[in-house]
Amino acid sequence: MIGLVAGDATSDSAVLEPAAFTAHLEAALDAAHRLATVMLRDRSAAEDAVQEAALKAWRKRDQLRGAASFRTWFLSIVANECRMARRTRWWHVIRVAETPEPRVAEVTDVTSGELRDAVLRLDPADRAALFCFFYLDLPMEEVARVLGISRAAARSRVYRAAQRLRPELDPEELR
Amino acid sequence: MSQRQLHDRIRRAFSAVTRPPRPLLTERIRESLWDVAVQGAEGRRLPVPPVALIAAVLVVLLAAAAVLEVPAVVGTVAAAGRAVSSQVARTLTPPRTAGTPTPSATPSRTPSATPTPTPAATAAVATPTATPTAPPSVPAAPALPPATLPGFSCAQQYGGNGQATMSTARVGAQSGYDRFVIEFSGPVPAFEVTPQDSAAFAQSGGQVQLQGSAGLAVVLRNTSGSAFGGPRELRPGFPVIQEARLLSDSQGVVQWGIGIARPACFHAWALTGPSRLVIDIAT
Repeated sequence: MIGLVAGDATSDSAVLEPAAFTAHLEAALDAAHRLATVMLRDRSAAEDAVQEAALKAWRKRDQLRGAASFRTWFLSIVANECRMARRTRWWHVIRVAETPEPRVAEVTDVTSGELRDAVLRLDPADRAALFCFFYLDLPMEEVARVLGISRAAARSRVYRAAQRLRPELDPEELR
Repeated sequence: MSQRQLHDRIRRAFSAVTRPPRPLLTERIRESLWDVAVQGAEGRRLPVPPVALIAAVLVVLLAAAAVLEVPAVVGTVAAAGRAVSSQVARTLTPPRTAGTPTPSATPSRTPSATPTPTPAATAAVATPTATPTAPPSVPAAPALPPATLPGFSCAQQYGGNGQATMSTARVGAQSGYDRFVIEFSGPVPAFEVTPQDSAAFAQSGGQVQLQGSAGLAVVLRNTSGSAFGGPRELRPGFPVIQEARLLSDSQGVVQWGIGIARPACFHAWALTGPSRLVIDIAT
């Protein structure tokens, strides 16, 4: 399991300088944007959420303890922002849920297409947990930190979501 | 399906339903961070002073006293209210910048038979500006060292997607950076700012050499200088900006050249109210 991506392992300074902050932010932007898209299923809403999260991160950057944890810390702010966006814009969720997802060229075989559809049918919170664990390759502790829940709850959420995709999944496989 | 296969397929599924962020998002975030950093440096967020709270309480008391028709109480509370109000006004008034001439709060004391010019007023009028060929630049002058502000980079920068005519251009020298501004009549059009190693720029019919040893080439699309009323050539002799010149204006594409004293990082961004392209060059 890969932990943090390259670029996260830097100095341990308590408060990032603005230039360093921007560099770390831009390194985490791809993951942040994809996480927001997974949670909100709308590109514009995801961009708004990431931008707002970036501002919030900037304002409370003194709370960041060690630049090495920047990515997880920022992703947790993004996830929180997405949750708030979903709460305050419930109509948006309904609208998106009714919109069929476009077929994507990369998914060619039927099995992958079905899996993708199954992923999209998951509850957003479960989908986010699955994304953090399988796509970002975050350890379960960091999945929990990003989602603002306990490690046990994160593991349970990942297991539950993965089991819906493959019912015969052994929980021991999710370590 | 093995766990490894499941892992790979879920990863591919997420890869298919998500996309990398658009470059525009990065630009948006840079701009918003810049705004926040500048606001933080300027201390625009004035804390609500406790005296304002006291004033509000006094107003309530005054209203209550007026209802109860107690003249003595009304007089006392009104006097206290006036004192607090003046204190509130002083507290909330933003501090004047040193270079900004301000009218005197007491313009004349007593009438005099032999009027003499007030030194303060004379000094305010006679104060020379740093940019004799252009009006002062954007008033925001962040106290934060620009080199540490987000947004500065030494690579090509671009943005804007509007369509508008240029109205004017100006330069300004700020603490830590020089600023070049182009104002537009509408949304800032698409722009590219490209650094180069010399101050020589291509122009129809050959090359033009501007002052300086390096340059920034500014290309604007979907715009024109048909209504341009500003200077086409600026030679401010600032620490970095040596010369700025409108090089060409043809078929919706306008090119400016900025000759700078040495290669420098910069920050190009679009602002509104008025709509303008701002290029800050680190000094």
